[in-house]
Amino acid sequence: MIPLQEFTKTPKVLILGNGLSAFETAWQLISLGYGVVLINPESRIIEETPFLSLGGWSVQDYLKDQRESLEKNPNFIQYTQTTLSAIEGFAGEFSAHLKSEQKDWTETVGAVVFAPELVSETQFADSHLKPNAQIITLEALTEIFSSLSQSIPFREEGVFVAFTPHSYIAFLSGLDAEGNVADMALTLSLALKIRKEYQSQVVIFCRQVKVAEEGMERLYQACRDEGVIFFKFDQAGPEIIRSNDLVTLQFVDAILEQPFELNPDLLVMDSVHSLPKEIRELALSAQIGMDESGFLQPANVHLLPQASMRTGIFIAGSGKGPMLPQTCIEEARAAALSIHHFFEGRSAEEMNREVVVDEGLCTICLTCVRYCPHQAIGWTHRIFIHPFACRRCGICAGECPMDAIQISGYSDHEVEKKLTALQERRQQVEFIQPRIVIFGCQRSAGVVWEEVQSSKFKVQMEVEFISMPCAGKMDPDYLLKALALGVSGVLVFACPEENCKSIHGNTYARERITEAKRYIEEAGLNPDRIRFEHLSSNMVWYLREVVEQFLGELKEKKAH
Amino acid sequence: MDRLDLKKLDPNFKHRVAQELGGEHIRTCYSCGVCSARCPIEKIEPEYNPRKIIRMILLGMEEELLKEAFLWHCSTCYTCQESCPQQVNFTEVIFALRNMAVRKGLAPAGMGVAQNLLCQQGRMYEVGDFENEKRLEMGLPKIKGNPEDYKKLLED
Repeated sequence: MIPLQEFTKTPKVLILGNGLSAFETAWQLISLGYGVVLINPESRIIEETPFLSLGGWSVQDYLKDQRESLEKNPNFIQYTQTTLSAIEGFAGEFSAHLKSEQKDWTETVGAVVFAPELVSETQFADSHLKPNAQIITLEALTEIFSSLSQSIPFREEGVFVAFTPHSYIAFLSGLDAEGNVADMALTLSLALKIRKEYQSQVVIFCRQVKVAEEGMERLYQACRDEGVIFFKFDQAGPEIIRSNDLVTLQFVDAILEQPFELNPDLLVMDSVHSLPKEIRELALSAQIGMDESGFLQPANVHLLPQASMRTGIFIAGSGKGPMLPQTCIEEARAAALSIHHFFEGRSAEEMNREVVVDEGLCTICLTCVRYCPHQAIGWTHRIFIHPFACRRCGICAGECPMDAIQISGYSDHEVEKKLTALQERRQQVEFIQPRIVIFGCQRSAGVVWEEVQSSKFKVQMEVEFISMPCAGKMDPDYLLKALALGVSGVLVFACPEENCKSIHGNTYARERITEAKRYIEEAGLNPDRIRFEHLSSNMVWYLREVVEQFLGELKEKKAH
Repeated sequence: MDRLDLKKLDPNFKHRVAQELGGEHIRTCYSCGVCSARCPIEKIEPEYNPRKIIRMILLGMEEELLKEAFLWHCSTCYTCQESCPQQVNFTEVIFALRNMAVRKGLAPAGMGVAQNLLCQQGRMYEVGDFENEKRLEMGLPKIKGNPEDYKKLLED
């Protein structure tokens, strides 16, 4: 074994990003006394990014102040035009391979924060449009407005030609996909500004007006008071017809069921936001997880807002999807606290006395390394399980072909002892009924089983429950052992899909059980004696239903 | 239905309605449709639909709206006003719209007859000698219409 004192936590954090959330996280971590290395693939200065904030504070000023005070701090190092090419190692002492034009080098950091800004792609090509003086993106219009000083009310060039009291400005916002509150905030702020300062008519075409942020409801109401017209669509938005330089929008109002058309003097289109390519690749290679729409953090209810799939790697801000500046700041503060919690948390000596690798049995086949969903297993001339990264799901123990990994409380020996105890009880009781054994995840089936035992539902003598740390721990050997001991049927319960605390534990269990059923059939046994089900912790009725049905089936088979 | 050009509608119509007595809150409507769902008239006369009327105001369909006969279908039961989550006060809006229609000479013919009746006898329903004798027998005072007051009220 590697001595536990070798697992340390370096109080230094690497932050990827150059936006509001990156600087806020850095600022909070510096105040908590950590060293911060901030890297940014570009040289762009963040204050140039257009922002329109709600609530009358200037994001640019806020950032500027923060940057200035950060740059004075000796614990803060910033590298621009630098990329992170790989993250190696484990939580507490990651080796981050950095690369700039001049050199390649490695930094040792205790934690990594992904705080990227999103990149926006225009949708002109999809609509067969080209940007010109009458067609512009939301971002470009925001930029024009945020660079305007307040004293210039009117300019007679560019898009400003369209800003007359008799002109119509049309915004297309969140029509092709689910919209987001950040774009809606920009759209509404600009609409209000245009209505107030130029008296042009503003028409907003959207699916839903996203107002789930502080101040948004007020902004929406202000727009309606000013006379902004909203058209909402269930699916397809307005049809965009283009002839020469004239763009026509044709649409049906959902309330009046009346067809309308409009030739807007200025058409403002939203963009598609996504993670920068290098962040996406890095997230894939570091296996921190992404959701279906390609943003950071997979859809899993067990993950805390700033957590990734790996211990020591955190997510802050708009990497999870477009966000308002105020939300980015809240996210960043929460991320800094999560990191502090990680550093202040238990030390290596306190953790991980429970997982043991038997060096005599281990052949270093690396099956465990490939299966671990938390990237917690490493190897030198032997396998070691990293105490900070391991979450004790037991997937490695379930997969290990040599049974070299054991988790205390759930070791093969202990499970077999429980099974043999059943055998002994069977000999005591007059045995007529078929008996079944249930294996289940402690988080779902375990909770249900407790509930079943304490409720009025009488626990039948012929049903036994053996708890697992995660369904992923389920070793097919246990099934065979149970069948060999004369059990009629085995039920395995895992958490519902995309709801596994160990991310893939339930899927691994399902695959293993399916395979086990196949070779049981080959051996001449009835594969229906084994059954796999998904169960969540509040589904007491379902457990009863499945158990009763399963028992019924087994009895029927016995009768024949 | 013919396709309407949004630019040909009057975007200031909603602001004018908002300046009328009772129409102040028209722009707070977010088209939830509670008014239409609870309207007892809408169940009998589907063409009278509060939500659609508000939408027509917000889109500026003044000409189309004020000439419509359904504007006069409302029984002013105030159910819409009671249930509106945005305090649009739709019954008051209907009064405002009717006033605007009358000013444009778009009131239905029956309204003119009613106005004449009021100006002549100070009541919608004539109280003649027969009724007054009955009242006298029952110890009630005689009723006399006062058309002068109504003339004053209705001169416009």
